[in-house]
This record gives sequence, structure tokens and C-alpha cells, in this order.
Amino acid sequence: MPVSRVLIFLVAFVASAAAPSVPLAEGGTAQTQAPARDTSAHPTAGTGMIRGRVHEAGTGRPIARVDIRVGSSVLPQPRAVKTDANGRYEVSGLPAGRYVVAASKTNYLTTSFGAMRAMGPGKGFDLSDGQTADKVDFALSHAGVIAGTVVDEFGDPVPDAQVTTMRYQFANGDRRLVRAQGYAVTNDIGEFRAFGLPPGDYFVAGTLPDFVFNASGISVAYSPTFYPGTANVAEAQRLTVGAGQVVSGVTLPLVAVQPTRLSGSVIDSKGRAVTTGFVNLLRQVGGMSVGGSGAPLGPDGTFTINGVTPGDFILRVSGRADGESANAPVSVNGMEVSGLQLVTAPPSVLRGRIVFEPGATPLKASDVHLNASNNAPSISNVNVKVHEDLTFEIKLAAGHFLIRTPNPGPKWRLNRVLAAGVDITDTGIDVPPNATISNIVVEMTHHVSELSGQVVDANGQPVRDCYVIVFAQDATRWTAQTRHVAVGRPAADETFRVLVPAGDYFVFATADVEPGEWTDPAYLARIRDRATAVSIRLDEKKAIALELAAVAAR
Amino acid sequence: MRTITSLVAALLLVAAAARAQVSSSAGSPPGPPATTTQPAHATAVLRGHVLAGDTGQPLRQARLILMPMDGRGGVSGGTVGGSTNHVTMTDANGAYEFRELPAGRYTLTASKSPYIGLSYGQTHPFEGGTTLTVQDDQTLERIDFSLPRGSVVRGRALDEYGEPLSNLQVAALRSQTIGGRRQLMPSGRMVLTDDLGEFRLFGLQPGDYVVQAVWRKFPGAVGAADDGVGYAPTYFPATTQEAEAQRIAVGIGTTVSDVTIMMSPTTTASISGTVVDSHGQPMVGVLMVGKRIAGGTNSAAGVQIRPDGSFVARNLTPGEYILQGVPRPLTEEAAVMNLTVAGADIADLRLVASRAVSVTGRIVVDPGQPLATNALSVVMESTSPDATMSFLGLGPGKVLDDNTFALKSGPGVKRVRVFNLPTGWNVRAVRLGGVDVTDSGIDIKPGEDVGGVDVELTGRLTSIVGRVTDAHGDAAHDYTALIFPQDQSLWSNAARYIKIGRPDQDGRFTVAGLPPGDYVAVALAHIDAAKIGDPDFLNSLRSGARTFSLGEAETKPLDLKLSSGS
Repeated sequence: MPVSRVLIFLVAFVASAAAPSVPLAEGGTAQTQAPARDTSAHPTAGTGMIRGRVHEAGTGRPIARVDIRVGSSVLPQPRAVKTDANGRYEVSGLPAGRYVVAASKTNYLTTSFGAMRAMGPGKGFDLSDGQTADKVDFALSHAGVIAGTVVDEFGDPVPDAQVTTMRYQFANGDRRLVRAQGYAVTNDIGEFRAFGLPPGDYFVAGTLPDFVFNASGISVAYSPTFYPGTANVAEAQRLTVGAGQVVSGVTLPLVAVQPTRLSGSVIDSKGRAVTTGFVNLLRQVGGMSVGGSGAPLGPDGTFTINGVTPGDFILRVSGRADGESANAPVSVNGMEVSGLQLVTAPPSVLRGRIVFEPGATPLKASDVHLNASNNAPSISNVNVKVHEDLTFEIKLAAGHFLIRTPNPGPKWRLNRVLAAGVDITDTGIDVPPNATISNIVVEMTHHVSELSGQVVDANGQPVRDCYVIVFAQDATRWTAQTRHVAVGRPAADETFRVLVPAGDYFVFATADVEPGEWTDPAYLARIRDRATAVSIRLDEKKAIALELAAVAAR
Repeated sequence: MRTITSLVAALLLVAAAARAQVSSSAGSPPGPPATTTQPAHATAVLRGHVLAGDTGQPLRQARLILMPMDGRGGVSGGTVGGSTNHVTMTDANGAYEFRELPAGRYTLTASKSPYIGLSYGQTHPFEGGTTLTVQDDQTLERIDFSLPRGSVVRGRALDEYGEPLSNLQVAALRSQTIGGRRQLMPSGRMVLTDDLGEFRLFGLQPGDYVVQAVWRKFPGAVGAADDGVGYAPTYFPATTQEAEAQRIAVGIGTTVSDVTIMMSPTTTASISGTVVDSHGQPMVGVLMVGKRIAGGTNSAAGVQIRPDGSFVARNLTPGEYILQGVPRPLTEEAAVMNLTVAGADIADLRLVASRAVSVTGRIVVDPGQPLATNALSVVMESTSPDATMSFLGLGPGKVLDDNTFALKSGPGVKRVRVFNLPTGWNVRAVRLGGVDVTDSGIDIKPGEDVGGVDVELTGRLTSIVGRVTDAHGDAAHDYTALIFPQDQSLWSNAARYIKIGRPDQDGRFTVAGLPPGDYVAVALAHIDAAKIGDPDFLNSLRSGARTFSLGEAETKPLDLKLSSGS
């Protein structure tokens, strides 16, 4: 009974994580994750039309039921249609403006019109009143597939194994493994087929669900295993998948290990045994949670989780009616772990105020997006309240947090975050359990250093469809959620604007980058030699001219 | 018909019926089956092998679960107050062993994917096993299993243009009886179609199936796909109607190929509205959207409730839905609504949370019989066979030292159930204000706390012990005894009133813990577990069947003749 409740609850977490990822908005900073807002007063009905045809790259075969999205800053929200049986689509009643069109369908690579490559940034085009943009056509490439067989230590096929594809991604400046599109469960003959993969490098991991093994007396279990057959993520081998490529014949032998048992007890902040609910054991691999198991709490507040294979875990009690929670890292090396004691704590509280520098109109409380974020993947949700008087209260579980003000608008920038007078802007703050930390000051400044300019191609023509990546020369600043790496795109006036703290930077303009790739320190290191060095002082507004980087061999 | 079934069984399930070779190594005399056992000694040993039915080769890492039968004829779960399941795995030679077992009655199952899991003594698909009786110091040898390979149904799902559809959820469904009603239930795993639209259902037991593919799209997804087009749940070959679904007959270890499902396009709708808590404030949390499909509620997925309490759920295909606002963090509140979606968008829904009500009462234990009640807990279970979501934050009510309990419950008609009852104990009756609500349940209304629930526990259980003879008067060793009330109104509470008995290794069956009353008993060669509780089936067994009355704490000898019907 408790198992099913927990599972249902997990669905909610998973579901809330889904978000569209195709960049359709032009201009502005590409860092922001929020959808582009229609701040203009343009009419949303018009007389323009966009139409075209979608076919399969290579065969020319028309593709039906392709999702077409037409986006523009003059539309309150993108218009969506599907192609017909002949692969044709048509969107009419469009107001004049600059448009971006993207086509997507399961098993094909999402493609923006005019993009140099699938998943790359598209080219916008202008549509005037009464105009019909014809032949806004797409040739969609198939997504890649990794197919193979999961076997046991004897080489026999393993049914019901979960196969996850992962890739390194550099969200929030942190290089971590994230789940990719492809996920599959092996069939009775051990076969899997992970599909929908954009071109790139992938790690493939196989696991047998731990829940099955929550029983004593199990002599063999399987560690989550990376291709080509290692439990150690550092020894995992990448599989490179090209556009539309089917990488088949991948044999993944699961690593058999001796499972052990993990036991302990849970008490609440008042020292009372926690006797209802569930203890979850979440496996951590390369910075992400991969599967897990758990056990119900007994009437005396104890728990025993059987069948635990070696690895790093987070033991968690959460979702309690009293709001208390506990998170504890646990490493299992094959030896039994007993006598663990978890103490749930009420959420800790951070209190403070947001201070806007005099000399400009401060933001209203409702326009301030304050958050506290944590690179540990385990932390439950953070509850932020900004009051009318710009004081705030953040409730969160214990951990190490960075405080940020995403999307502060064009005028304002985060200057510093102070805790008891100490600058914690880039170091973050350690929040102990059951703590109340007051007097946090979030300083906002309108004295911003702005780097702006135009990007031209090899013929000297202005380029709008590119990203301008501005990153600190000091590589130690390429950290999680750093303010020292920023990205902009040329807006309608063909000028990009990027706000950064004063300092020494490199600047690089490219059309050949995946959104978020700039948070990969390895990527920054690769482009550093081809970038332009620039220094910027406090309050300086510096204009530069950039040439679009030639597409590098990938 | 019976011959064919028996033949099928004889072909492949035979080895499961292997007789235990009993060697009383320590010379303990075989006594009557122990209905209440004290696990003071744990000296018995049980061992055997697990083989692949198709090749005869030993199966490594097959899982064996040995479950003690408690006094109610059911299985006690958990590790407190009752007995613990024993679990082990076979070694490289397919051998397994349980050591240091307490004497008692057990069921034993062996499983390994993609083979069909079997219970000890099981001779037919979808049948229960028989019990193993183990004495102190006894060693049971050669409790062997030969697991048949599960069958495979493979095919593709295509859209109206004949193009493959990916990520559809495909299941093989069988007709089963739930709460007295026959309905299609998923059997075995559900699988997803791959990029070629292909699926492979495996591990299927022999029988007739219909195959259904379900398109689902995350109800919180915003964007390109939100254009009002989707697919209705479609049965093979191309129908949304259960009656028109084509049955697929599956044998043992066979593969049925080329099952092509043409999906039926349909319109999808968005629903929107607000969720407020019991104080009328916007609920902070998630709206779970579950669709009722064959086999209950499926595809529950959450959409965030916005800070102003509003929500939008999209991509909903026509059908019956259950919506539930779940607060985060969990509180003792929930907002539930049933909704029919028929293609058109629905706006301005308003879900208002109600607080869980308090249910308090006490445990009344038969005098003269000691029972430690502080390990017990009390839960309220819905009487409705329909899947309903429950309040997620509510735990069971623990029984305190003074034998009182308090718990929280959502609204609805609920029966009281006691967890962690030790072997040999059962609920005699549940009374509210002197009225017996054991079977009718308590109608819990929002905002109205319920107090004074008396839960009477008894340690003086009824017991039925008997043997079965066949048409020639010979002792039968493979049968299922089915005992059900004469009063049809009790059939819906099958867990309490309908029990089966299977022979132990001496051919004797034991059914313990039925409430006193008037019963019907039949012995059949084989009963499809899916039909137990089906009123038509039970009524068909009445004529010529043995009827009897069972008194309080009575131990009733009951020898039966094997019925030729079925």
C-alpha cells in the first residue's frame, strides 16, 4: 500500500519536470528559461500567411502529422498546426512581424526553419501585411536509435532491465549526467531499442529495478551498469550517434554484485519515532538520481532496506504532513550498513530583504523572481515568498544554496548577496537543518556593465541568427550558475546586449551551438582560442564588432 | 473442454505438481496440521530445483518466495506481529534451499522472467498453489519446479496513414472478476511501442486475450502537440469497442506475430479550473489526472496548480477521468472530482478540498485470550470496486496501549480493516453505535467525525478441514475446494467470506477464519482464479453442492466429492 502511494507521488515530480526546449524567441538573452512574453501592443490578427511542406530527409517522402510551431514576438503565443497527409501545412491570419518556424515529430529531429543543422538555431524571416511566405519547407531527419541486448554475467539475456541513455549536459554550469530521450525496457530476449536520440555522444546504463529486490535472502543483484559493462561511471564509454543513425548490436553485460542490507531508524525533530510513511533510497550516479528503492517505516520507527547494491545514495524521508524532511548521503560498499539514524527537521527559513540601488524605479515585489538553488539533485522543493515591502522568506531543507534573481528585466542586475555582512553571492550559503537565518540582503544594482555590438558574417553582412557567448577569462569562474558566463542573441536592431559583472572576458559568436552547451566548461575551453578578449569596467557600456565563427568540424 | 485443459496442463505444467519427498530426518512424528504455530523452533529445511520447462535446463537466479499461511487463510505481510516471507534464489545449478524454518503451513512460488511463475502444487494457469505443511526438524526434499516459458504476442501500432506510432502503452487484457463484476484487466506487463511502432508482450500465460494500445500525452504539456488531436484507446485490430475486440488465443510458450493495431484518431480536450483548500484558499500542490481504462485508473499524471489555484490539463482523450488535488506538502486534505471528457474543452471546474475526518474507536479482544494489540493498526478501505484515489497523506491508525485508535479518512463508504493481526486472530465484528457495520461499512461524510467504532477481535477461529474423493471414491490429490456464503449479498466482500482450500502434500485441505454462517462448499479439479467472486460462476455451482453451517469457533470436518462440472 505505501509503495503505490509513493509511486503515484513520484509521477507528479516527474511530470512537473517536463518543459519544451526549442528556442523560438529571438532577441533577449537565451539564458532565460521562461517563455518569451508578448510585451508589445501589436494586434494579434493579421493578413499574412506562412505555408510549406515537410518531407523526410533523404527519401523526400511527405510526412503527415508533423507539429508545426510558428513563433513571433508579435504573437501572444506560438501558433500550432499539424501537417496533412501530403505533408502540407498552412498558418494564416498572421500579423506583420518577424517569424520563426519549427517542425517536430516523434522519432524525427526537431528542426527550425533555416537552421544549419537539426536542433540548431533557426533563421527568422520578416512577414509583411498581406504577404504569403511560401515554401517554408522542412526536410526532417530521423532521430537516432541505440539498440542492443542486456545480458547477465553468464551472457544470458536479461528481461525487464531498464535501459537509460544519458549525456553530459551543462545546465546551471554544472557538468552532470542527465537523462536523454531514449529509455527502454528489455523484452523477453533481452533486447532494447532506445530511440528519439538527437545526434551526440551517449552513455547507456542498464539497471534492474531495485524494488524487486527488497527482500532478504537474495544472493545476487545487479549494479546499475554502464556500457560496455562497468559499474563505474568514470569507465563508461560513449556511443556516438549521428543524425538518424541506428547504432545496433550494443551488448550490455550487467555487473553482478553482492547485495547488502541497510537499516536504521527515523525520529522527528522532537525526538519522537516516525512510524508511518516510507524511507526512499535514491541512487546517485554522476550527479543524477538513477532509480532507487525504499522500505516502509515500522511501528517502532525503524526500517530495513534489503537488496542494496554498492553505490552512492541519498536516504530521504519527505512528503510528511508536518512538513519535516530528512536527507542523508549514504555510501554502500557491499558491507551491511546498520544503525543509521535519520532525524527529520522542519524546513529551515531564510529571511531578508531585497534592496534596490537608488536612482532608478525599483521592481515591484511581484516582478522579483528570487530563488535559492542547490546543485545536489536530492533537494526537495524550495518555497519562496517575496512580500510587498520587498522582504522575503525562503523555506527549504538543509543544504548549500546559491541565491539568485533570474530575469530581473533590462534595468536591474544582482549586485551582491550578503549574509550577516558577508558576500555569499558566488560562494553560496550553508543552511543547517532547522535553522532560521535572518538579515540576508539581496542587493540589486542598475549600474550594469553592458557589452553590445553586431555580428557579421564572412561577407560583412549582419547576422541575427546566432548566439554571442561572453565568458570570463578566469576559468575558475565557469561554475554553477555563474554570473560570469552570459549569452545573448542579436535582436531586431541586429544588436546583441549582454550584461555581465566588470572583469576580463572572452566573446564568441556562433550559430553552431546547442542551447546550454556554453555551460560546459569543456566547450568554453574549446572555443577560448577562437574568441575575442575584452575587458569591461563597472558601469561601462562597451560596443564591439564580432565576426561569426566558422562552423567547426564536429 | 475439461480434457483439453487437463491435456494442456499435463503437457507443460506437470512438473509443478511434483510430490514432495518427505524424509523425517529427526524422527518427529507427523501430527495434525498446525493452524497456530509458535515459531519457537525453526528447524525445518525445504529444498529443490527450478528448471526451464522448454529446455529442462536448470534456471539460475529464479526467485522463490515462501509465504506462511496465517489463520485467515491469507498471507501475512510485513515483519511485525505476523510472520515474515522467506525469499531465496536458485544457484547456478538451479538449486535452492530454505533452512531454519518454523513449522507451519506455507505456500511456495518460483518465478523468473520471462518464464511463468508457478506456485507449489499449481497445475493450471491462473490457479492458486497448494499448501506445504512443514513439521519441526523435518526436511522436505525435491520440491521442484519446471517453469513454462511465457508466450509472446508481438505486433505494431499504426496511425491512420499507416505510419508507426511510438510510445503507445500496449497491454494484453483478460476478463477477470473484480468486486463481483467481470471486467478486462491487464495481464502481465504493459509495454511501449518503439520507434518502428513495434511491441512485444511477453511472459503471457495461456488463455484468451484482447490487446489494447493506449495513446497518452502528458496533460501538463504545452506546445506543438496541443492541437486537439490524439488517439482513443484502441483494441486489436481497429476498434474502440470492447465487444468488437478480436480475441487472441495464446498457448504455452508460443509466439503470436503480426498483431497490427490501427489506432482510432480522436479529438482531445483541455480542462481548466481552480482547486481550493477547505478554507477556500488556492491549493498549493499538484492536480493528479487519472483516466479510467480497462483495469481501473491509469496514467495518473500531475499538473502543477498555479499560485492562484488555477490549473490547465491538456491532451485528454474522451473518457472518464478522476481528478484529485494533492497538496504539497501533504496535508489531511484532498479535492476529488469525477469528470467525463467528450472532446470539447471544459472550463471553470472548481475542486474544493475537504478535510479528512477523524475516525476513533477501540479494539475489543475476546476475554481470556491474551493479544498484544500495540502492533496492530487500523485502516479504512473503500467498499467500491472502482479505483478511487485516496488522501495521500494519511497513514493507518495505530492501536494505543489502552486499545484505542484514531485515524483520518476521506469520505465514502469504508470498511474497517485491521493490519498486522497475528496468526490465529481475526475480526469478529465491527460495530458503530451497536450496529454491525462489518460488511456494510461506515458511510463517512465530509466534515462529520466518526467516533465509537468497536472492533471486536477473536482468537477463536473457525476451521474447516477435509479431504476430497473423486468419482471412483479414490482420494484426490489435486483439487480446489471453494467455500462461499449462501447469502449472495456477502459475495462482494470476497476477502472475508470466500476462501479456497488446496490440498497439502497429504491431500488434505484446511480453510481457517471464515466468519460463522451458512456456506456452500464445492471441490473442483481446477478453478480459474479470475472467476472467484463472479456471481454467475458461484450461482452455477450451487446446484447439488454441499451446504453447511459453521458455528462460532467451530472446527468442522468436511469431506467433499470432486465435482464433475466446471
